[in-house]
Amino acid sequence: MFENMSGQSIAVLGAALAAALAGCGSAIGVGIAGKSAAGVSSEKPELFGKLLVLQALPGTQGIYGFLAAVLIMVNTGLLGANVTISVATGWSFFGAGLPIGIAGLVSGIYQGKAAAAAIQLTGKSPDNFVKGMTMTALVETYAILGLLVSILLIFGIPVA
Amino acid sequence: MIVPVKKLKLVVLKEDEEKVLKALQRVGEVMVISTENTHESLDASKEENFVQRTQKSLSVIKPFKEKEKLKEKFSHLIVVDYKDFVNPDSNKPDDLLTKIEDADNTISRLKAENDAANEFKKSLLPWEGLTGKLSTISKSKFTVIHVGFIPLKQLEQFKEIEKNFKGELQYLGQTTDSQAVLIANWKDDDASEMDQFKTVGFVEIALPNVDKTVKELMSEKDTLVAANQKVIAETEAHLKEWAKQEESIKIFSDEMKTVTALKAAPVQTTVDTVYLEGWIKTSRQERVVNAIKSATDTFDYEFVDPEEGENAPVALENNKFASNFEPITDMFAHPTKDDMDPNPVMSLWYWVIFGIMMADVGYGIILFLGTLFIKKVMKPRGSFGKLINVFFLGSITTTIWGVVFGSYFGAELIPHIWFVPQDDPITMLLFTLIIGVCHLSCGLIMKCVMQFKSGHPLDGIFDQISWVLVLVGGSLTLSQFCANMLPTQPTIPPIVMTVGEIIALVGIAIILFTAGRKAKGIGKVVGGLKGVYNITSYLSDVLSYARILALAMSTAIIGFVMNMLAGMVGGTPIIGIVFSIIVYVIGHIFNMAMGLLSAYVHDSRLQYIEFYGKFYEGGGLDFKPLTLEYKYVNEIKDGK
Repeated sequence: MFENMSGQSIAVLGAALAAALAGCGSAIGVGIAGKSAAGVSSEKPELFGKLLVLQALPGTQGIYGFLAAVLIMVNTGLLGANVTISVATGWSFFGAGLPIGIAGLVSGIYQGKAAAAAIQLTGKSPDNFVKGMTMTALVETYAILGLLVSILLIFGIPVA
Repeated sequence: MIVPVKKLKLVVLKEDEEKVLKALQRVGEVMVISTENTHESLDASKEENFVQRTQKSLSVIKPFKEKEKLKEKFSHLIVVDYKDFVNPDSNKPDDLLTKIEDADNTISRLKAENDAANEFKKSLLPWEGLTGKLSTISKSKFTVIHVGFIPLKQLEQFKEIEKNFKGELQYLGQTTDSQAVLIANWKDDDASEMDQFKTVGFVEIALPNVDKTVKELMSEKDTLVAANQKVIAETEAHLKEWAKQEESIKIFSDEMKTVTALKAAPVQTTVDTVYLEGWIKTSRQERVVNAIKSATDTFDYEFVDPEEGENAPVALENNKFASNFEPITDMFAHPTKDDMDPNPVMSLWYWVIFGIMMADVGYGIILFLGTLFIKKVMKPRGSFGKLINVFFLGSITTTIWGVVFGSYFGAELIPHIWFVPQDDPITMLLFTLIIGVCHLSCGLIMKCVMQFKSGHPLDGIFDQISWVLVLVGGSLTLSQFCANMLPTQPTIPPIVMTVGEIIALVGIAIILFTAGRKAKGIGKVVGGLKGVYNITSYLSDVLSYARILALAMSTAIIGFVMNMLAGMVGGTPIIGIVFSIIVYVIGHIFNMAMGLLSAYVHDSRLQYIEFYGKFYEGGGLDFKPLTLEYKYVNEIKDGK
């Protein structure tokens, strides 16, 4: 089924996966954290600001995926510039989109769970808000590494 | 840095107790501590009660406040004279609080009453068709009357049974799921026929046995609800009036909080004297003595050094720059007396790394103006004020790195000075890893200095300096390998690599031969190997700094994408331009907010895990002196 695909369409698949998978991860993660935050807000509405920050933390994966997708689009000429992409290069871009896509999906979900726990922590003792935030941020490291690999790959792929 | 503390032991006459405590609270330098046999100096239950009541009342009047103009909301500061603040007249606010509480109770009571009335009305609705007085529905000599509901689902079956029914039956109103029915029956047949009705779901209910019709009952409730509404409206109007005095309640709340803190200070008492102990910074002895002198002439005091093993608080004094970063360290752990205060060094790293993560002139300027506005107008205090200062200072490095990387709201309006990270990610990656090597080495050197000071210089060399050698030597050894990845591919003189290799090997040798020095027998060899194996954890520590690249680039590229999106919709005249401005403004605000959150969190993380992991333990007691406590009041004029 791949014979008739141009290099560019394969690259599009890569960009789509990067944005979609990481976006799903963030959506699930923010959703998990949101449920927890809503519960805590019902008892302690004054913590809303802090809870919102914790809920937003798993949202970065989606941004990273979006970022990688835009970089692929820019480098493959989907946004104006006129470049021809060979099938092999297309597959390279496809591969380059995967690290942030997959790492973003999984880390987004698990960061959401950590954020939910941090929200409960904040609900019980608001002073420990930053500790919870740090614990949640540790999960994001792996999405950042995924993004890093994706970026380095995207910039490393030679385009004619 | 950590400043020494001394313990104040003070004896005053009982009659002077409150005056002296007030003076100490005002000077705000003494952390009164509880010892054996101490108790709360004075009874604070009345004031505590007031604090709770004021907070309740404030939440009651909150919805009734007049809408402040945005300008007033930010610029209105509550300033109180010290004299007024510590001599509160509790009668007037007490009166107001009582009124507000009564109003609140009245409103909730009447609302509950109305709810009950409406509920009752609703339950009567199906029976509206009954024209007679309800008391007439009862047994007579030959008949029985039943009222009740049939589920709508079973109405058909009910009507089947009705065909053979000898009594009278009247269908009344319906609720959402059942039909109200009145059944008049002959007494003799009643039991068996009612059983039949009950098998198809008839549920008998009792209507109130009063001398009124349903309509009368309902209109009675209507009158009650209307009357209650009127009272509620009147009470709310009062609340609106009292809400204007919100400020006096706020001040009173803070006054009571301050008095509570004062009265809760732990002391020991005899018949005529009061004894208290507290920690002070050594440099403030004179100030404290003067404060006591201003309150009384009759007192005796002594300053003693903390004893060995005593849990003395750790007081910090840093310059104007580093002190702002103290809350960041305290969130991790407050230093102990054996630690070195990490704030002076950490603050510099935090400041620089924050700037690289944000790195945009536009965002830097907005952050600068925004935090400056908050500082000048809202005058934040405490740890929130310090956080604002961190962002304020961070805006400077953000701007500087923005100039270096040529990023102005995500566009390169002015050519970059050094390089553009998104065009040249490898250079940026290497740059961030070099920052990591320096940051980690700095942490190791801090630990080494601490060990030298505490008289374990060999530990410092074996465990810390060895790793600095490995980190630096390893980086030099890899320099040509890394240089080849750069776009310019510079040639590094081979001597650098040779020196690097030697340094790294010396470091590894030290670790191999000394890491197992505390173990016995074969453990010495295993310990050495385990020590060298630690290189993997250092590798992951260094790589962790690559997050700086990822965050810097995500801020820059999302800014760039927002510019592109704004440009795309800006094609058509007028509408396009309006949309493009909206996209531009919202996009950049969003990007800046996310960038700020990420920079704050990940910069903290680099300090906590990578940097503090190398030298800092923490877990000490914070120095929290007895001071004036205020939350709503913005400023207390000393009025000396």
